[in-house]
Order: sequence, then C-alpha cells, then structure tokens
Amino acid sequence: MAVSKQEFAVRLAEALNEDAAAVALNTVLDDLEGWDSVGQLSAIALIDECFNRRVNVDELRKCVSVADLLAMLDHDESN
Amino acid sequence: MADDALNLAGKCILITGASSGIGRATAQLMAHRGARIVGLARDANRLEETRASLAGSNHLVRSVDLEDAAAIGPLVQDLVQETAPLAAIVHAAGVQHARPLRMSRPDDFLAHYRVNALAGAMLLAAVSKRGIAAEGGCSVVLVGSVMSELGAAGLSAYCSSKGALLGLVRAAALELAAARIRVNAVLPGVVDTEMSRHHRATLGAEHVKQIEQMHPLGIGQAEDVAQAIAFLASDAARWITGTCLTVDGGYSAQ
Repeated sequence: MAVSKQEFAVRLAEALNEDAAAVALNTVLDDLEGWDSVGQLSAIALIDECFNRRVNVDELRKCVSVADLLAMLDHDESN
Repeated sequence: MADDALNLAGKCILITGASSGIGRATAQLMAHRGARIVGLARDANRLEETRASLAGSNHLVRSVDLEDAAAIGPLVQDLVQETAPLAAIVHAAGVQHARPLRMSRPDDFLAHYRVNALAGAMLLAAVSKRGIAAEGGCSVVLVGSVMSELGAAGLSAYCSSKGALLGLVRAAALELAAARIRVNAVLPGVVDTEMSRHHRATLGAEHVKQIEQMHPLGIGQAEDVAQAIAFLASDAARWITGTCLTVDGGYSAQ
C-alpha cells in the first residue's frame, strides 16, 4: 500500500477538517463532526489517492471506525 | 422554411465525445437524419463501435486527446480537408469527478476546464476561420449541464467548467453571427450515461434516490438530449443563437 495506517489517519483528519490528534485507528467515525456528506466525499477522494481504490458512500457508512475503513481496504497489517 | 428542416442530409457534422453517452447518441441520430459524421474521442475502439452503429456511410472517426487545446485548431482544419466544411459542431466530450474543495488541487480544476470549457472555446476559434464552416453556415452546440447554472457540493470544478460555457455561448454567438455561425448550448439534467453512472456510484443509494426524485420526468436518456442537439444543429433552429436550452426532465423548474 502507498501509505501507512498512521499516515492514513493523519491524512483522513486533514480530509475531514479535524485536528490530527482527533483521529486515531479506534476513532468512531460518527463521533467526528467532519464525518458529514462532504467529509465522506473527501474520504472517497483520499482513499482513491492513497490506495487507488474507488469506494462509494454506502461502503463508507458500513465502517464504524477508522480501523474498519482500513480493514475494508484490505490494509496490510505489516504496514 | 422547408417541411424537412430537421433533416441533416448532406451536412458534415463534427461531434466530440462520440464514443459514448450523449455524443454517441447524437452521432447516431444525426446520421439517421442523413448527416456525415466526424466523430472524435479518446477511445479508438469505442469510436469504431460508434462508427459501426451509424446509418449511412462515409463517416470518419479520429482518436484524439482534447486536453491538448493547441492541437484542436489544426486538427479541425485537417478533418475538414479530409471531409467537407462543417454544417455543425457538437462538443459533447466532458469529464466529471466529485472532489470537495478541501481536497482539490489545481490539476483537478484544470482537467475539467480543459475538456469541458477550453476545448469548446478552441472549436469555436477553429470554426471562425475561413473555410471551416459550410457555405450555408454552421451551428455549434456545446453540451453544458444544469450544473452550468446550479450547484452541487463536491462538484465545484465540474460546475464552474460547465458554467463557463454560458458566457462563451453568448459572446461567441454575437461575434460569429455575421459569419452565419450560430452558437447555442444544451443544459441536460442527469442522464443515464457511463459518466453519470460512475458519479452516482460514488454517492450511495440514498443520495441517488434523491437525485432521481428531483427529476419529475425521471432520469433522462442520452437520446433525449440528442434530440435537442439535433434540433439546434438543424435549419429548424436557424433563428436561434446565443441561448441555452435546458433539457432536464423538470429538474431546474423547482
């Protein structure tokens, strides 16, 4: 994969207009103010950039946490 | 005016984006009405599929990258030399990618502007030159969008690139009227094409349902827009220039 889990979390925070400290692997996405419709479109763009994967809003909404997002993307645990 | 003013027999018509969607449907309809089609798009295989689907013969297709704006003028000149002066030009090629502003880079906007707007401007520049328009005049139809006038979150690049066509149509219509070149645009709502399916796939089922409900006549088909384009390109629209024809199933009436 192109980015590590930690780097993805940092970039996701940026994409959602959140403080970097507010987004960790166990963060519940619905607890983030930035996890609205524009935030979800931003996450889709970020995932495309980082993983060259195209996901849709329905797939994103199935994910509870940032870790779930990465699991959905078949994140390599060694990273 | 002749009864068959919608007939396009004997007219040579250049269509960008002819490999799919509205461009392909327009090529098919215009060929059915007797036009000789010069079809442009990036995908050579799908262009050949379009050519094979056209009524009549003597059509020409050419694989080109419309992002290369400087190449459009010389290309049009070459194509006219190979075929005939143009009675109409349809700019149906377009790109659409959803990307919120906070994620946008200059290239995201430029990619939209180059194909959706600048290529249309360069086609107008090309047809303004001697020998490109047919002796009886030329009708240029730019394919805009309801998003030329409205907005959608995540589509700033697309909306602004399509919005640029509104000013282009009006200015070019005034500048080129004396040369018997008419310039108009169609503004489609959501049409069931590969490009819109790709966009809708990103949005999720709930949002897609909302979009469908915002079209009182339902989501459109490419043929619905092709009919409007073919009208504007024909002699039936000979007194129409500098305008935008909304074709959106009632979307923007709300």
